[in-house]
Amino acid sequence: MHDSERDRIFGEWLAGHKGILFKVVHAYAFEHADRQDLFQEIVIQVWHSVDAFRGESSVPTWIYRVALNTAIAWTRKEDRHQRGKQPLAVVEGLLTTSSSDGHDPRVEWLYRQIAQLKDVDRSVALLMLDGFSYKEIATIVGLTESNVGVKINRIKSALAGKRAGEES
Amino acid sequence: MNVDVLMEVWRSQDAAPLHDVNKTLLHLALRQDDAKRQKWRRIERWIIYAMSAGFVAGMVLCLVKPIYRYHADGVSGWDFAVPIVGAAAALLSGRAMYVRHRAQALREERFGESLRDQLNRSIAQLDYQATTLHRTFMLVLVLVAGICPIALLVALSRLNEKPFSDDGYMTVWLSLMCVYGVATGVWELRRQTRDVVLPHKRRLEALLKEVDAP
Repeated sequence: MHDSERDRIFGEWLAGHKGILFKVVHAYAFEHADRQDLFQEIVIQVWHSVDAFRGESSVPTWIYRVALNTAIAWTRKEDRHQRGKQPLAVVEGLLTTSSSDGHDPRVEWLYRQIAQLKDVDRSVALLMLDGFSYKEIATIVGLTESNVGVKINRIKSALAGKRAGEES
Repeated sequence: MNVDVLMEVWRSQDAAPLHDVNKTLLHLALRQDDAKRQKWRRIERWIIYAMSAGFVAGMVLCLVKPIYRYHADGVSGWDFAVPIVGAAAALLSGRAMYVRHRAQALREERFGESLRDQLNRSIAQLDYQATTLHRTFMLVLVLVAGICPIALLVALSRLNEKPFSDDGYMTVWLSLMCVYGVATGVWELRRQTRDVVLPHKRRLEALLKEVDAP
């Protein structure tokens, strides 16, 4: 694929689905610098994945898959960063934070709960909240549908329990 | 708050995202990554060219030397046999490396795109990396074990011919440097395996277990 064609497709994907990238970054990285790094890593992977996209799944499913795979791989890479063995070359300011006007405070509460889940359960939670079907989640994560169902029920119970606990 | 409400809350971010992206810097980051990849591809290509040139030069030297000696003071069958067997062994090793590399590439292609497949692919890559490091480690040991006694015998035979001179000191110095280089290389290979490859593999296996957990 020609570079300009890839740039055009990537531009369209970013315009339509950048929210997916923000959600994954917010769920897997918690410090400003880490979010910049992870976002840069994800956009680069999504950009490279344009060539591999064959249209067998929808674009949001594809982007979620690439973003989640990158985020999970990034966590272990970050371990190396923290040990100072691999210098970061992050383009600072790539990801900006919007003003808090119009934000529902319960979104941040949800992110805090998601952050407490294990890496894979976090992926399942993001996909569930974005309305993906059990079948789609199973395909993205590589689980059986019944296993997805079990995980989702457990996540829902945990979220409901936490909320009920805080309200009481 | 039931799940439908949670999903509604979650989707409110689509209207008011928590972040935005600086498009100019994004363009810069992508170009930077592209330039970095192209640079590495160029370096890899030049390394292959340099290694191929070195290999061909070595082969030519090995084949020309017996012919030169034949004209100078006659030649034995060994003078031809040794470089030919050496060249054949080098070609076979190269072929074996290529076949192994290709088999690994095909193995990785069989994995799909899901998170589980991605983890399995990464684990297979790390297995391959660990095996390659182990084989390199063994090869270095075998080469050192094979070459050192021969080099030592040659050095000793020369020392018997004339008194211990600058040549003798140079031989000892080069031997020490060689042992130091090999020891450092072996230590680095072991460190890479122990500190980087195996912990990374353990983490991926833990993630895979997490995927498989009921």
